[in-house]
Amino acid sequence: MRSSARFGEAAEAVVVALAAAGDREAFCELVWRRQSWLRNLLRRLCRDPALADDLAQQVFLKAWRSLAQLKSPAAFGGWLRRLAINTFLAQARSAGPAVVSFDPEDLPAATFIPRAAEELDLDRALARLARDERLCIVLAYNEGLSHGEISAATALPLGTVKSHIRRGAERLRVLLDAYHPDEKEHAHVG
Amino acid sequence: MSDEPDALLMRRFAESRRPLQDARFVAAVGARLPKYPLGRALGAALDGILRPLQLPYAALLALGALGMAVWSLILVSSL
Repeated sequence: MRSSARFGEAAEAVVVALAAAGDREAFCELVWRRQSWLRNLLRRLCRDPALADDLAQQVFLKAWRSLAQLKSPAAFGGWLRRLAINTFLAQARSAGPAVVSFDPEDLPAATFIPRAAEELDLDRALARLARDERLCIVLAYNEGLSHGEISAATALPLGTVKSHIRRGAERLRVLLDAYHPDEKEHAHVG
Repeated sequence: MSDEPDALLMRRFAESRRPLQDARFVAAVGARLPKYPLGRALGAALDGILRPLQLPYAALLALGALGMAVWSLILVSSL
């Protein structure tokens, strides 16, 4: 069910401008339009769907409080993503350092049986990366941001972003190749 | 090393996107929205005070209003 039929196919910038002026219904429309994308992004980052949804709610509440500060309604998506990254990082820092050691040899043998291989999805592979690696990989591959944009969004040095993406992609490939050997062969043939 | 994204990973990410349409989530956010955000309310109050001062002859009008207030107080206290 849609939150409101009032806005129909109205351009997002128009709805953002109305919400920035204090129109709650317009803001709920923005929540409706953006919630799937934002929750998926935070689920990828958090590894915990319940925590991700809680953070997504916090992000929308922050957006409602500070939407009037947004200078260009057309920049709403990037602004909301920045809020989400900051909210995720604040939560992650308060939870302490999250370093996940990775060694494919450490994976239990049982996880390589075909049944488990079918169950492993990208999120679970991502969950095996260290927090900052996962953040950079998600922003690069899920959001399509350039290395420079990721550096600006996360306040990580550009060189660090590049090395996180290079190492993280390598680790993801190892994990996904282990669970999807057919794809690996296919990719090599292609 | 090239900064080009890995094609296989790009495809995996693209394929794994799934829509999350959840009216309960939208309703939960709507229920948590404060009716009058404090920052916005303070901004509006400040705007209400400062906006009249931008009118032409605002200082003269303010002085006149102050004079009227003082005159009223004197009248009231003499009763």
